[in-house]
Amino acid sequence: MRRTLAIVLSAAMILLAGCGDAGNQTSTSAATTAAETAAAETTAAETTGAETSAAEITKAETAEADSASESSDKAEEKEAETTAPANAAAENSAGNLSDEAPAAAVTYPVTVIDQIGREVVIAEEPETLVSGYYISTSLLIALGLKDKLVGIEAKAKSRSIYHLSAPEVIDLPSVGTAKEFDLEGCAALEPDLIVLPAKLKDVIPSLEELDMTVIAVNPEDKALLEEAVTILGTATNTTDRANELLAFHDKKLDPLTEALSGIDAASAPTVYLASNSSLLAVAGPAMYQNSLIEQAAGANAAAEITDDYWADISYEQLLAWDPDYIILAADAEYTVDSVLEDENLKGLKAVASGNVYQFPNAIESWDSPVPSSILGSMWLASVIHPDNYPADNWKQAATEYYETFYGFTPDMENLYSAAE
Amino acid sequence: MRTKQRQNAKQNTHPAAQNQDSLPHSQIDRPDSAALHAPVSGGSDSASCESAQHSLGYTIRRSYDHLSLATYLSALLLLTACVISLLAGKYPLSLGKILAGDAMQLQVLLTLRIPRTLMAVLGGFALGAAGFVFQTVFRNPLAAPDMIGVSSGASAGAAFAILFLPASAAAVTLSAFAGGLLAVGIALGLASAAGSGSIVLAGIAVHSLAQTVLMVLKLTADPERQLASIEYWIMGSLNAITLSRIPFYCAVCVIGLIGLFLLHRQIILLSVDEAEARMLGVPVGRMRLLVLLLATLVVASVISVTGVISFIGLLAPHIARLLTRDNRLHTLTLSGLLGGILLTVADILARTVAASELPVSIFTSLLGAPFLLYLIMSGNGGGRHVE
Repeated sequence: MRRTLAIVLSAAMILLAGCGDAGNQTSTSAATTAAETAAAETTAAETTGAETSAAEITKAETAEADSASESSDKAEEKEAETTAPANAAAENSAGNLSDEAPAAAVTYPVTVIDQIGREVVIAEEPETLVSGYYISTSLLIALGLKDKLVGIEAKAKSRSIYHLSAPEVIDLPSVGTAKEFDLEGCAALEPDLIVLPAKLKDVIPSLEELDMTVIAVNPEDKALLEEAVTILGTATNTTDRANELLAFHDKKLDPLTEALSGIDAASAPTVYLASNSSLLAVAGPAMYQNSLIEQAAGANAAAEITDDYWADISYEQLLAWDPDYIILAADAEYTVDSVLEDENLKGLKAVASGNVYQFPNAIESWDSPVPSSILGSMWLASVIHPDNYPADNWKQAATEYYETFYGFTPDMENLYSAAE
Repeated sequence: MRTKQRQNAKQNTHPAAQNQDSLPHSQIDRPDSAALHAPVSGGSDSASCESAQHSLGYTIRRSYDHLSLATYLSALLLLTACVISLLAGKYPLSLGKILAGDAMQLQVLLTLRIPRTLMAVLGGFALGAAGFVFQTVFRNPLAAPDMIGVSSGASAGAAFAILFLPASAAAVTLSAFAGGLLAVGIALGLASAAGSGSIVLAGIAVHSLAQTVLMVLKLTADPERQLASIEYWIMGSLNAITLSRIPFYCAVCVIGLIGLFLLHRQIILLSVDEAEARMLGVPVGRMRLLVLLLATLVVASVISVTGVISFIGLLAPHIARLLTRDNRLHTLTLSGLLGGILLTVADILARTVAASELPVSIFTSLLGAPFLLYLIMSGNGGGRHVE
């Protein structure tokens, strides 16, 4: 009897599986799958996330951070107040300022609301800074504060932007990574202000008990990055510089949009944007990287993907999409040549016509939410619309950007750092 | 079908067979009980050892007689799953175009679709069969190849390649294979030096050592690129399988499987009391090491290509035993077939339910967990088959 039952059950299971496969999967199984996937992604994101560049950050995480901040009462007001500053600059972000400081100079003590919804009072202009996250470190350098830094995150040596703009910060004491923060080491530096990624929010209470002032930033997409720039500008009395940094993006976006206005959306070339870790992981429309493709008047080949993180696909899927261009992320573990030589891809249009490129990476990863990300859109536009948009445009813009904010002249001939 | 089977059973009036039927819980042939009921066959008047061997030979022969319905059914299901697997995928294949010789269609079919299906079938079969071998040899329903560190060794090997070798799928696969074998080699080496009784402890030690190595590697990994690659590798997927990646590993896997099937009688003898097995002429220590080596070789060759795939090695043998109620050759075969079905179906789901590829382990667990629950609820859990 049991045996019959077992056979029937096994047949039923397999049938059920078969049905799911045939595409009529029930909403329940779809829901379970979705839940499973979400769970898997969260785990992956959490483990990788530690000091993940903003490029790889999932919206799920952002949502997590959001919901975390919503738990605090003030957070909602803050959301309302700070959604706007993305477009408008510092004057409009007065929501972050308790007292009406003029844009030119911040009057201390100043209160800012950081990106996990905490109200932070900064008693006087900070003279020494610690940054525990490479994006905030890079921002502080752009704000002209490299001389005030006394400690930064681990693995600084691997950031080419530090080598180019502020080699002295590389040798500063390390305060650890988002995975393993060096609480005592950080406290020993006695900085006036500590900037940490939102992921390290658990260590903030301990630091506050030691009378440290801490701001948490969460620059995981463009809007959040702009908000972070504004907050840091206010906290460190560099609002003018912060505004210039934010204005650079818009100043360059308008001419770009105009230059590409003649391109018909229907005939836009399809772009497959491959991840850092694998050619077979792609940025779907829900990812930050999709905005680069849109700004460059391309069409995302992975338009049907619904994941908000790098989505794994198969060779078959890539062959079925057959994109016009394959673009590798700036920090790809694999090379353009390896894609061109891949036997399994030889029928692809992009491979046949040699339209496989990688985002420049010698300075910064322009495909991640950094203030310079407009350069990524401009570079991509010059690649996929060489007739409408010459490469000189972004080369000039990059030179201007790094000379203005980072104090060095970038080498526009060597766009790729030597293989590690 | 069911009645037919019952009739068969009734026709088989042999006392040993009746004994089998009346004792559903003793799923392993205990030669002692078989010897008790089976007449000493032939004119042999030698010691009880030989009679036990005879009766065991007898029961094994008997198992061929009604090579169970479940086995045929499973083979049929596996074949069906295979066909679906060849038809399902992101690239729309059509028979007409393939026959017309469309280059792209042929490329997809030959270098992607067929290798992937082959790997799912063979990989699932190997994991299921190896799981059976481990559970039988260790007389432990929870035993699995992971126990002696093959998965963690392979994971550490893959992580090493992702961090330090030039990026290529082949290098990762080779390094994972080497890592798995190294872990198993150390575990079995320790065990053979310290006596085969210590194999589980040696395995646990190697397993934790490999986990530690993996942890250190993860710690040094660049979180954005390498750590993501390592995590995804560990989650297991068949999405990157291509023709050029699999021949060596398939060959190793098939050779290992052939070895296991040739040794199936010894495997079953290993599951009985060690003293009895020795009495029956099995060099227990060496045989156990050899069998485990073969089983882990098979597993290593699969997971170095696919990444870690959970649950099949545990689940398939349990289902097989539930269906056959014994522990013999056709249970080994059935474990393999069920493993093949499980992985093939799981992989079909992994590549079709969402726009992106999902880790295959999600589905092996999702399909398998209800079975395990059923086993527990039915009160006839595979866990009780051995005392």
